[in-house]
Amino acid sequence: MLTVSDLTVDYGPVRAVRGVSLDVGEGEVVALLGANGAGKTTTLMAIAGLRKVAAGSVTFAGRALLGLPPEEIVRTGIGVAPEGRRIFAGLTVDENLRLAGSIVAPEVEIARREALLDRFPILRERYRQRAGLLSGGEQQMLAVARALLPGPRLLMLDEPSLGLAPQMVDLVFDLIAELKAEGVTILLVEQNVARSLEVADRAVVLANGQVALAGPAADLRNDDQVRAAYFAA
Amino acid sequence: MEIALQQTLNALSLGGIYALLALGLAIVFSIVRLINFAHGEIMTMGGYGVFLSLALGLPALPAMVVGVGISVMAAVAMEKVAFRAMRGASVVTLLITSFAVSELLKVLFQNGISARPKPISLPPVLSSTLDFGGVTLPVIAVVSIVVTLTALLGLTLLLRRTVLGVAMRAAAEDFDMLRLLGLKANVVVATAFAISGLLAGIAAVLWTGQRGSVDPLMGFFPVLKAFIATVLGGLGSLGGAVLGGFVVGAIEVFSQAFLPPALAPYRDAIVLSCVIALLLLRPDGLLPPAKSIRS
Repeated sequence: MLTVSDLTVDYGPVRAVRGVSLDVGEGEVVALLGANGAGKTTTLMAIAGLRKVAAGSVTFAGRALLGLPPEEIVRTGIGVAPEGRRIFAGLTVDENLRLAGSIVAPEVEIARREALLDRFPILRERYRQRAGLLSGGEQQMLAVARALLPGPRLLMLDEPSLGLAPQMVDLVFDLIAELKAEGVTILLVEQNVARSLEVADRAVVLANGQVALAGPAADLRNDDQVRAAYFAA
Repeated sequence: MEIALQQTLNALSLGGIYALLALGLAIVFSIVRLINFAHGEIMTMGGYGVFLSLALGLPALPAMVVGVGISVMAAVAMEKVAFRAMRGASVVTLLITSFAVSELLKVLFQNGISARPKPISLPPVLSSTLDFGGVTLPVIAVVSIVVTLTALLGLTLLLRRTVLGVAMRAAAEDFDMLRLLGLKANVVVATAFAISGLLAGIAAVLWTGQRGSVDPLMGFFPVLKAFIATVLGGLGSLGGAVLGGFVVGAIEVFSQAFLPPALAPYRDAIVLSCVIALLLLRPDGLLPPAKSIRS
């Protein structure tokens, strides 16, 4: 559904992403892994249209995305829950969701919002509160709910478990598993390699802006290189 | 007592105009980080809009509406022509661009219309006084206050109740994230400029109503005060801009009314000294904008 070929992105004077290729099939969960600064977030933001791409191509559902502004890319059916959650702290939970729902028809928005509030009861509880008052985990729920509200065909999650308490990390990975079971296509950027490989179908490991390894998650779990790099005892 | 009441009214009506202008500056700054030095010329255009409409024979009220409309169009056009290409540029680059736009428009007003003030005659009822329980109050001051408060209330409702309003508040926090939710950057920015133009247009109509004329520098001086108001209130904070506008207006009117005549030439110096003193106490302004939390 999403095909990235030879993506090259400069970040200031630094070539942050160097010829990365990956694809995500319908209903698949693909994990994009790697150390800090490996180019994961830059890759994601380039797909979303927020980073200028030096070379390569991105196609989604048969459509070339490069050159489109982020708002058009999102409207092709890509939901983004970015790194750092980036919820609007000064707005209420309700307002955060309303903005996300404003790009679909009102009836669709109401139905989807109800469904999401059933899925995340804490958001219903805190509906009229300012989003900045939510805990980190609750903010992550809001960020995911916001990304899901317009009914995207692809969900891009960037470091959803970063900075969360262990129980919250469990909750986030349970959520990803649930979404996967419902058939949501997900491109997941994570630092938590072990948990990501449990939930993902396939994984792509980046190092220094290049693809170092790629393959089925089950294979990578047993790969010596991955074990040495990420599961060092 | 009567003088105190009249001066309070004057302070509120002048402060209200500063507040409208400061709010327009703050809305644009909060979203595109542009300190729009050409905001004064948007106001001046509104004044000329009123003047030309009257000259063409329109009655006063429609002429005022046309004036406000011209300011809105001027603001939106300015964004499209001058600032859209510069979006994302540094604050300094944007500031210099707005300087250029401002100077260009002033020269156009001077050479295209006239360097001299053009008289605007509005209905006599505006310059009459109102007898309010033995206290004489100028009608224009009362009208200014009512119009300002209505505009502020309307804007508050827009920002709280409509999706576009909520989007503008969100854009002030994190513009890129708003785009990642699929909201169109150009629409949000154009709306911000349209609102700033609307407020400047209303300020222009009230200002010409009080002064009775329009000249190429009409908007320049009040907008200078509005800049001071936005800094005093906390740059980028909408509530702060309004509060700052009223504070600057009050200091100005009361210093004019109650200072001994010998000190009158130093009025602006006194106003600015008060502002500096307030900023020394609160360096981020009276009501600084909420900082968005990014991890």
